[in-house]
Amino acid sequence: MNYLAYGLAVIRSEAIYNILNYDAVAEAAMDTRILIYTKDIPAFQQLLGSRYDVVYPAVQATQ
Amino acid sequence: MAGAANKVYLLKIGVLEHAAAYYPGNLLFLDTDTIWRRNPKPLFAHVEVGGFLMHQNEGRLISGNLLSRKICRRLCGQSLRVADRNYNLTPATELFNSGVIAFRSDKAYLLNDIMALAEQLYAAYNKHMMEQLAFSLRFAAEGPITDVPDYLWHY
Repeated sequence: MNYLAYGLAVIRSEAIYNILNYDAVAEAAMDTRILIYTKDIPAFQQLLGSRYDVVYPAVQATQ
Repeated sequence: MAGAANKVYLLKIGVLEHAAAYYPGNLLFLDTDTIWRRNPKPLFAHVEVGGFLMHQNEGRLISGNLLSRKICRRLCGQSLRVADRNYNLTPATELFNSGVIAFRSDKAYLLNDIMALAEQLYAAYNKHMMEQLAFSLRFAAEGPITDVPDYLWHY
């Protein structure tokens, strides 16, 4: 799954809530990867911790 | 990455291009203002066999919400041309909400056409929902779009 979570804190909060909500409904064995496109990785890590299934793609301005 | 029309909405296309290139597989993009309602496993199964998902069918342009009807008054009857394919905007054109977008990464080539369509649509009528009309037009030309409001709320 991909989330575009740049900008306001409320956007980050929405994304985090959605991810926690996904954990609640999805089967643990689904083996999905959650891609979070953000400039504020620490804000996500603070609440989500270090999770193998969460990826923060590094995007260059030229991309 | 925002495209010539410089619309932040077009960032979604750029993110999907990046994800398809570096994380191939079944891609499901969510706006942050969505909430899961049930197990998404069937959605990924649908994408696996080549299906397209968007959040909700908002109806035909002629009979949809106020903005859909405005767009129809302005653009219905026009045709857009992208990559040797014509896209006719008609009263029966269906608009899907893009709070959820899902497809298999080997179909990411469609994103170039979606970007081109979006830029033409924004140039013709500068409304925020042109990005979702572009997705709706291109996906529908490729195959049926399934909406998923039973799986996610979009507030």
